[in-house]
Amino acid sequence: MNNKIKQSVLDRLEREGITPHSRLYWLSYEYAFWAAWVLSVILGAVALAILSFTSLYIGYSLYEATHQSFLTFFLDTLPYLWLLAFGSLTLVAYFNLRNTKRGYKYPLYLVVGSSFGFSVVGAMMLHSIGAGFYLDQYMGEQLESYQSRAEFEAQMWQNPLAGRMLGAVKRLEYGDQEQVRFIDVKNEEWNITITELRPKDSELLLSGRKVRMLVATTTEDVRDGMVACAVFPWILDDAPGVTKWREERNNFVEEVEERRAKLLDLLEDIKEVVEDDDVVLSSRPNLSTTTPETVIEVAKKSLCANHPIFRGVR
Amino acid sequence: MPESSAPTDNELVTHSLRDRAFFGNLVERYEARLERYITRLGVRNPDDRADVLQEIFIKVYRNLNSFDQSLSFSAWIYRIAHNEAISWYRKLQSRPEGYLVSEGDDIVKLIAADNVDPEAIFDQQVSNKLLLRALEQLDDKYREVLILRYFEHLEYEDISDVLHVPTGTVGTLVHRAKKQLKQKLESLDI
Repeated sequence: MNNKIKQSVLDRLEREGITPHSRLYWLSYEYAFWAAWVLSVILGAVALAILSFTSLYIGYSLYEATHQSFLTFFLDTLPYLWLLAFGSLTLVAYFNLRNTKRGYKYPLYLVVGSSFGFSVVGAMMLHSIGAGFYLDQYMGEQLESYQSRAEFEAQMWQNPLAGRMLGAVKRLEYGDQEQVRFIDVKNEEWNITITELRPKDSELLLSGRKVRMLVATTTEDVRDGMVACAVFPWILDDAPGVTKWREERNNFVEEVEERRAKLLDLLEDIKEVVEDDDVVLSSRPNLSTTTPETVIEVAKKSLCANHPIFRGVR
Repeated sequence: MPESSAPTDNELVTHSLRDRAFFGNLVERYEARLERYITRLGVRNPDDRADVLQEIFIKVYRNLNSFDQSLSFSAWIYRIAHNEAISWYRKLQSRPEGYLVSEGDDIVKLIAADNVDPEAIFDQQVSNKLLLRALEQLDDKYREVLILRYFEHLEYEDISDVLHVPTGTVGTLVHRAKKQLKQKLESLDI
């Protein structure tokens, strides 16, 4: 076969005018894979930046206000799209790097690690300038099918029947500041009683800023019977920092604790009243309610006591 | 002329790129080895073999500029042969059948010599026929790596270049291939 093969190969090369592909042809292949790798790493970084924004800033600080447990909150708010995008782009980067001329020689951990690692470094840089927030916001504005984190948060908070509202005060309804006219993000108007709010919360609400509000209502009169229980600023109009979230969380915990303590005191008072109709202990702590009748009256009136957030009191 | 003065593969590649006639030297140098290799991979019909071999060399010539001279030419050309043989199977839509274990291919001794598996299975007399049957039953990836290692006598580094897997993976594949071969031989009641 020896000479036959050699001759047949050379004859065919001659006959069909076969020439080697140029060096540039092969280099373009190589560069294409490297370019695709770089691109997938960059896109991976972008996906991870948005993923980190959407998973770090999903309102952990107020999760009790919107969900039954942390697990349901976590599963509901996890940014699946970006997790999938980042995972896919890492796979694409892996594929491209493996297909470069020497890509097969690198061990698996190096190929995956470099693709993943560069994306992480890029994402950290993007995250530090708040790119995750702006990209998420931009996509929410541009793509109808995409829901930005701010839109998602707004959707979670704009649910009056579940005791959550998002909007801003339009004007004071009465001169004594007992009720305010509140316009929610769906442009609906509500009369909200603010007598149960802490001074700090009242101040925030009356400032006219966009706020998130926990509300309680009587079943008979939803529209005008809303009572504001707690107010939190809306912070997704720009990229929020961790400090802002931490501050909000502290404020929320403080709010809940204060209200629970107050309710506990009230309940203690009621128990004492039941046990002894005539005597109210003088050691009752910091209550403005000095008679049994007043105690019971206040407890009945406190619609916020029935709000799921504050209901943990026994 | 002393043998050491024969042009290296890399020199022949460089010359071939300038003058097609030099490519004939590369064909001469590798045709016997590649013919044996593709036969072992299962291209058993002489006419098919001639066709596959011709396609391999045509592809080698077309791709000469993609050869990285810092790597082994031998591994590079085996890679092309390997891919061509696989393409050939695919065209036929069949699984490779049968491997020639020619005289001198003392695979049993070679496998046992590596002493990866200390058990005495390879100390027994294993006939080429039984070995052939056991090899036929191996997974493709294991069969390929055993052929490259013990029939073509390639180093791990070169096998890595042929199969496009990391060198460490070659070691793992060889180890597992031997383990599977041992199991197949045992199941054949040797």
